[in-house]
Amino acid sequence: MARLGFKQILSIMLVNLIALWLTYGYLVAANPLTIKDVPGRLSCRLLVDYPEMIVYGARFSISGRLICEDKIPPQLMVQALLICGDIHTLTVNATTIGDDGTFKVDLEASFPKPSTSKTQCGVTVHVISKTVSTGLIDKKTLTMMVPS
Amino acid sequence: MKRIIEILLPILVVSSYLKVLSLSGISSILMIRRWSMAKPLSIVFINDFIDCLAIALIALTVSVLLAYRHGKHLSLLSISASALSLVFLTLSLYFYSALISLLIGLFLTTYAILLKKEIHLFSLARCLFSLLLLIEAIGVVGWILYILHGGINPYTEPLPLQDLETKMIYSLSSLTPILATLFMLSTLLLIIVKPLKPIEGSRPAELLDRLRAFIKSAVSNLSKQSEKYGAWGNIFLFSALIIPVLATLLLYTPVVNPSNMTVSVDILHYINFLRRAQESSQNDLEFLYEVLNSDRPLTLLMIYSISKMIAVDLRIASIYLPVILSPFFTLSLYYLALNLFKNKLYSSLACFLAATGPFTTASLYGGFLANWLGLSLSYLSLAMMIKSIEQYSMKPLLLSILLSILSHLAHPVPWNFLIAAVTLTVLLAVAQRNSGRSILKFLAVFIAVNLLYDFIKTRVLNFIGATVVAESIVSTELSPDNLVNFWPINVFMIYFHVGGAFNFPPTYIFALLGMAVFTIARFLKFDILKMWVLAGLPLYLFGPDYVQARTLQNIPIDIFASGGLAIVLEYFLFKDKMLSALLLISIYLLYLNNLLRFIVNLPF
Repeated sequence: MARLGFKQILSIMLVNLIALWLTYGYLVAANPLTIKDVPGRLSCRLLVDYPEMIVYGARFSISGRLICEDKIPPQLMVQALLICGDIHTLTVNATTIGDDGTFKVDLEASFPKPSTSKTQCGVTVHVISKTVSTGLIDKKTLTMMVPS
Repeated sequence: MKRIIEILLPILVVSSYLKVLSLSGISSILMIRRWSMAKPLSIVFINDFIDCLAIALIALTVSVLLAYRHGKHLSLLSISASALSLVFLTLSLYFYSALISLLIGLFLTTYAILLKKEIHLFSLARCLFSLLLLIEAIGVVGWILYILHGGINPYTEPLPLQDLETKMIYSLSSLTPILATLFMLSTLLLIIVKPLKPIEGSRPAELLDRLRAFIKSAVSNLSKQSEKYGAWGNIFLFSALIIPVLATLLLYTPVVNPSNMTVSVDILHYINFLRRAQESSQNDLEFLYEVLNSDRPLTLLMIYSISKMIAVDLRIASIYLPVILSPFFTLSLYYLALNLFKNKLYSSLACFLAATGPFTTASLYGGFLANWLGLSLSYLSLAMMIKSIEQYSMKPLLLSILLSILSHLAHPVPWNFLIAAVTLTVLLAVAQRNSGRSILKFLAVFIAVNLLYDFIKTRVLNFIGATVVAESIVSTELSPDNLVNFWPINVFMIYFHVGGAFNFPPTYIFALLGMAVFTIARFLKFDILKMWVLAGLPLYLFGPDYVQARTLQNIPIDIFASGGLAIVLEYFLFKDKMLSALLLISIYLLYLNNLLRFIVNLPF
């Protein structure tokens, strides 16, 4: 008759603990049914005020408002992306949307100085929830002046 | 009639599975034009009613056919269940209708194969693989049409052919964090379960012995059967060399990347560093000093030299560098795998899995150029070391040391993994007393020279080096808090980090199988691979999302995956050659879909 020693008991306990931990991970964190709680396309409108012109090296703001049919959903954020010039690198910043739906994002070009005195930049404003895009997007092309 | 059942059963199981998935409202996180979005996994062929009706009718047909042949109560039960599925359909309860059809499909499959032996498992598997192959082929056609046509929504234009394959794969995505974590824990688990042995003479012990005997004989005879599939080996290797190059070029075409954005995140850092170094240096010597004082001088010098040689700016040199890095990585991985498997087919397969799987997609998103080069050199170094051990020769060992030092110069992380893996292997060998002293001497020399080199670079010359980077990561990034919050961090890493590049479940399934194979077929060279994974475990458990991702990026997971597939293919080659061919084509298309899906969605 085989007997269980200390090593076997410890081994069984550890295996069970790891199995429980993995099961918890699957059921709680990675459960596919919880992913559907992330909001899809919201029944909201996004209004954004852009500056007329931006200047390389100077900070500027993009403000706006989210207008929803119902209450503004919690934990929403606005992420603004700036893509300028020939190098096409990104400048990103994000801010939380207030309870009244307003927001203000500060941006500053943090890429190498363009060689031209004027360049075109694309600004994209996304409304995101828990890092997932809600599909609400607004875009505009701005002119950036590059001081000599 | 038997043939009809063989064809209808896989169709019933797959279609009802997809429909249950669709009607349950489950979503997954997909990268669509650079953005990670929650996309419902809804699949509608015609409309929900007709789809469910067709599935219920297939279930009814198979049930009737089986009842006709056997007339048993169980067949009659499935006819009743099929009728119930139709009743739910008339009540517009589509989800329950599809769910019953799926249960009938699974029940009838078990019934027909195990209880009645009506159909053979391999015949059914052949039909199932053919069906999956068809879905994969349609997906590839969809992506190719999109690349030729372009558009706004990559999943629906010009035809939604690729949508079905994507949703089918992403339906398994919730398993990815568990599978990846299980793979990372597997070496530790093997140590934990070691004291648990089945009682001698019992049925489990007998089964385990048979499995061991099969795997051992399959691993030692890998070359015999599969060498007949040399053409497949060539196809996989050629594809692994050429496809990532084409992908890199495609990334900057107007159809895929209309805004011509720099898709790889870290490229900006390379450009900025080199520009700053150029501006702050008075002469070439100062520039060289600046570059050598970084943690990845070889990569930076490579970008700079290419930019000077072919007179292109640093951005162009950086974004197209994968055209060189990827084939180099493929060749070094091939050489390493060849030293491990002694088999061309499975070595080529490992290369193909890496070239089209998470390693390449993550590298393209992140622009991990230095990591790409560093890991290639580390793999070559390891291959040379295995060669030196097998031949008891110093010459390959010297080459191995030289390559590891080059790896140190290319990027600190792969070098750290290599040294940690070899050190753990030495400790394991000493603890088990199962390796010759000469082998241990070889490994000790390798470690000592590398550590001495790093010591001189970092502590004597005060340059930045691998151990300094490792110290910094361990002291600043690793924390018990990350272990407490492991699952949210890990799920975020899998779904969102580098665009969800690591969210590809097949790799982890095959790799887990490979880990089992490498454990049973005990060789020192496989132990080094296992120790490589063990070296990454603390980083994976205690690190934040980007450290976890970098760990997955730097372990030879595709060699494990190839090892796992090798055993399945060897079994099929032994039992049913047609099935092995179907599996190989399915794997090819599955991974090709993964790369195409990723690169098409990489730019805005």
